[in-house]
Amino acid sequence: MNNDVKSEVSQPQAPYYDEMFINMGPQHPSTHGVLRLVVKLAGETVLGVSPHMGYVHRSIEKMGETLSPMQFIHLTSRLDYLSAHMNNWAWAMLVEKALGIKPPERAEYLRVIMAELTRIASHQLWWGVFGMDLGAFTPFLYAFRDREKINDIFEKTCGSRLTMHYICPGGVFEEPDAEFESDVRSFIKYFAPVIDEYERLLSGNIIIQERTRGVGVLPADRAKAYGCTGPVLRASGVDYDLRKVQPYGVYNRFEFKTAVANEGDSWARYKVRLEEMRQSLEIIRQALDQMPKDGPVREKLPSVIKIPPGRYFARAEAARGEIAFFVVGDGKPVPWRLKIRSPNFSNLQAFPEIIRGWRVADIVTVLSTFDIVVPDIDR
Amino acid sequence: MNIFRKSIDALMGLLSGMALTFYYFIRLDKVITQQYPENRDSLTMFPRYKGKISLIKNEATGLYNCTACGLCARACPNNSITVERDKDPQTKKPRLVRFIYNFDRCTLCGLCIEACKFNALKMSQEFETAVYDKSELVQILNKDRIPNSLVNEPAQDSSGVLTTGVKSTPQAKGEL
Amino acid sequence: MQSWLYNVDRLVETFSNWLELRVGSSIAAEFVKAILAAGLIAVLVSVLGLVLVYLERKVAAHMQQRLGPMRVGPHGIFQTVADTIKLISKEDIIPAHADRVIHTVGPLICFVAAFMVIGFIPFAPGLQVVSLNVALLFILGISSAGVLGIISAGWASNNKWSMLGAMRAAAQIISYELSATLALLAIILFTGTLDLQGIVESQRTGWWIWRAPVVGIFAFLIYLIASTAECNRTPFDIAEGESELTGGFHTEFSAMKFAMFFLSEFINVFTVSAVSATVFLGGWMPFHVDGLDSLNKVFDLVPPWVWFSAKTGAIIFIIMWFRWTFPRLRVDQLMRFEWKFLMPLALANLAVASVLAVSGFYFFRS
Repeated sequence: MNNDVKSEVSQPQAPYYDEMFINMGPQHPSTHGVLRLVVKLAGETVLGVSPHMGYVHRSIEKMGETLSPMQFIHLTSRLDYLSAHMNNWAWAMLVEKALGIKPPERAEYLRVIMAELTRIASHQLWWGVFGMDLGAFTPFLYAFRDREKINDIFEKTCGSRLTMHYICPGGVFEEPDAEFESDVRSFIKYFAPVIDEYERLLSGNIIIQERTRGVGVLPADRAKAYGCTGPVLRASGVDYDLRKVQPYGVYNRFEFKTAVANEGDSWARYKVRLEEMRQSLEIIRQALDQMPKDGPVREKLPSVIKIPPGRYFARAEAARGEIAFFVVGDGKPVPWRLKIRSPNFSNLQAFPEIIRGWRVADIVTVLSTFDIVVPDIDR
Repeated sequence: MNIFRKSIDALMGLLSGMALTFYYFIRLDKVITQQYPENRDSLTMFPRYKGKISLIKNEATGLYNCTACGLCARACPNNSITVERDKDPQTKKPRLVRFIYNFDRCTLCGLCIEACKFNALKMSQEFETAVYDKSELVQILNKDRIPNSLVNEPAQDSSGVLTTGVKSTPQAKGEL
Repeated sequence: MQSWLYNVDRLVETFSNWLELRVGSSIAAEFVKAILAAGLIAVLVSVLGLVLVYLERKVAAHMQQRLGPMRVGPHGIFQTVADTIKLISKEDIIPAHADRVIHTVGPLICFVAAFMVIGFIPFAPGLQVVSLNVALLFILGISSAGVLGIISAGWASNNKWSMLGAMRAAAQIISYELSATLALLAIILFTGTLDLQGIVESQRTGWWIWRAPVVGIFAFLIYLIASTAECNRTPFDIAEGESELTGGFHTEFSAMKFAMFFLSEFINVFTVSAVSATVFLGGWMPFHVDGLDSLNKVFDLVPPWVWFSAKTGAIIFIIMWFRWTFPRLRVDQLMRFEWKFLMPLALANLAVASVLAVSGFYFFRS
């Protein structure tokens, strides 16, 4: 343990003006959802931020106490809707743990491919919105142009483009489309050079570099103290990726690098996500090569699922961090208590501490690199 | 000297970004916009697209396959389906009176399709489902086959009320 | 060539003679000509506004792989007309405790400052509303009055966000004026006159951007960057910062007041493009190289106002290109860029230019 790591967040000096409170209200172009930030300013310098959440609270956990496991899948898609497949997967793993079922091999590979495609789609959207928050309006459309290709793949197989209830307890819902494999392979071939185009447009731009380097530094110990996960944690130098630390599914059969950076500033978070997109392409390619060509994709579940008494816990690496479900069952068809550990909630907690001393424009930058999806915070 | 080098790098980065947007500016063939209402005729959805549900008719007899068993209403997570049934006076077998579909509640999850054992439900490919009046979202899917004697009876639709018709959630069913 | 296509001043002279004959005294004729000129400028401003807004939307769209307005008229050419009708018919909302007088006057100041400058620009030989021998000084002075409009708009809105935007704009505009002026001064050293028509005449043997070695290019680039900041365009649009302040200083303005801000921004873009085309690229002067007479004759075939429009259009395109490619700078980075980088560069440029001008070390001195 490195004992001379500074525990305090570095704060630039604030000039001496009168303080005022300003409201980045629930409706704002850059709060990525319905999040209210009450900002205390001295001139242009931020003295403190207080996030007020709860505008999108839909009582999903309470609804989980009235729905059977199969019926709850559609609600898990709507938590962090940009990583819908991964949420479904975490829930499916929990139900399989509770009932003692193992999904077939082909289903496991399909789950990996779907999850990694969702990760790429989520990071594409993040990249576009990041550019837009910083004032470059063009990356938004380039990102959506590429995201359309992934959405088309999902639409052909799962039927929907955003909230796909494809991964279910027992495997996946049904066989993928006949053109699935060729579509995914052509997407991999198309997208690998496009990431370089992204780098040309935003990463190579001196304005982006000046606005993100050194801004909003999150030290590793503070990140661990707040329970941040995902790219936010990995950009602070902590090599913690759930797919490597506790491999679930068939992740231990793939070779890929974890994207880690050391500085913990916004530039590091930006680079980590771009690198994750590349690594996801690698995983998809290996999964397509290793996948068994035929076989069942769904294990039969009993028609009335009764959750055995006990406590069950399952976690997965979503695009924004670690999502986990915790269920207390008592033999009835519905859970007695269902708790969702959402990654964005923990990530947002670190935000007020690191933004002190920076400027109003940096609120938007740092919030954008944290990649918050507000429905996940409010559940 | 360092600032000189940094300026040159910065300038090259900026010019490279400008070259990319200029490339897309002059390549008119790369435009990806589709002119929507004009291309409606050529617009088809993928076969598995989840539009709103519809009942399947048997081509030979012209009757709906639905036997009013109520499994779909039981499987639906939020009471979007209400199945009204009664006994046919002649054959004494259960028959479907009205299949009430609350499109304003449906999340297009597909659990009803999976639950149906009689191949009576499918997801249609309608995507232009916007209406001006919210009451038009409570739809009766077997309008053309409602038994004659019951056509004018008011439908017991479940808008706003949790338990009518077939009870769907386990709590509502009293299993808890 | 003596046709009116090439010598518009003959047209103006003929009209003015006819008017004197009709009206009688030359003073009354001047008065009528002044009114007509103001009317013509108003027409020009409106047409420019229409065309520029449409062009901006189309340029933005094509850079983003989409089509832009397509429905109102063939390829959407009447889109701006529809937008204008909408803006005129909107309700004018003044926030609750806002300062009503300043709320109304702010957009007017911006618009008047932008509008007045068009009279000085030479569109063709003789086609100039006001001929003043210190025209460039006047232009720089009037266009900097626009910042008063922005500050008053931010103050009168009774909105903390607008105030932030207005403060940023004030700091930004008065800083970047310095670099713009220094860049222009570098060329004035060569031309020897502040009169815009004289500046254009002095480029008969070649445009200053290449005739003044190295200094011309640097001055042009510095002026381009500084004037993008003057017009509050990305990458320097923190004053209206759409992602942070959702409108900055013009959030609380609707209907015609917003239209005034909108229009004055585009007129400003046109003005700085026209000034930079005049000073650096030769205005209405075709591309001449001293000594190559046959080449000069070829370029003389194109009428001067076509040359002017093409050059101004090219610079407007570059300014729009900047907007749709680059993100925006943070306010302290913007100030640092100006005071620590751009202005020293402009001063150094001016020093080298003065050495070159005095020693005569530039192409085709005549």
